[in-house]
Amino acid sequence: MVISSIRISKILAQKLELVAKQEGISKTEIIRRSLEEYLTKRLTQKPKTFDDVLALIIKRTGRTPKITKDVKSVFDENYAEEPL
Amino acid sequence: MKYAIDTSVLVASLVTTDKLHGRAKVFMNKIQAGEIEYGCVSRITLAEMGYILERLTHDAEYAHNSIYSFSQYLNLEILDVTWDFITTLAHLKAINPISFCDNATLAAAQLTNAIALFTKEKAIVTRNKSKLTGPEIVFLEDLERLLDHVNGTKSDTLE
Repeated sequence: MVISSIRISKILAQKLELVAKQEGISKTEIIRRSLEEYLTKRLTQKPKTFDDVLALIIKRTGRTPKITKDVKSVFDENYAEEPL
Repeated sequence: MKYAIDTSVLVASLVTTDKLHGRAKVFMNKIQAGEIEYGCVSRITLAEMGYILERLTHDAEYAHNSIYSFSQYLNLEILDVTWDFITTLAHLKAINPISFCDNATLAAAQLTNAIALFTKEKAIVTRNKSKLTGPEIVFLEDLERLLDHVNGTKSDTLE
């Protein structure tokens, strides 16, 4: 990660503040996502393959997640039969 | 063929240890390449995918990036929670003995005239399939022509 400082107008800052509150995420994350979306559109359009999307997720996260459980067991955790 | 895709398929496409990972990836690559007529997911399904991924990995950032990337970059229609969606989902949940999120997949399929695509990991859907009201349900495991493609014996596309 690198640290970048940017100057923005008051109006843009107010919009950023508003959207951050509405979405419940940080202003930094909105700037990051906005840049990511804009640059992706400019440079690559949509990833051509699903494998490209998977690679992008890992790249954005900066690590390959460790799978700690069995998928079925996680699905089953919240299930209860209903007598309908 | 038009598909409303369930969380179980999305999760399988992401999780390399899932036994359906290869098959789910083939399906999603076909979606991305435009080889399948239409695919959609509801925003509720994306939320369910997020919580499953976070529980599987204890990595909220990975889960959020997956939700974001799926909603932004895939060749899928992301269905908003509109009035039609809310009322359809409410009715389906009232009459179907499966989870709220599974019914969200059925609602997405019903509203888009699509087939609901699950995996058999959703055991409760598998067990209750014959009792469910709403759109047609198919399982990823049963898409034979897709399996042929995975095995490299044919290069057929899904209908």
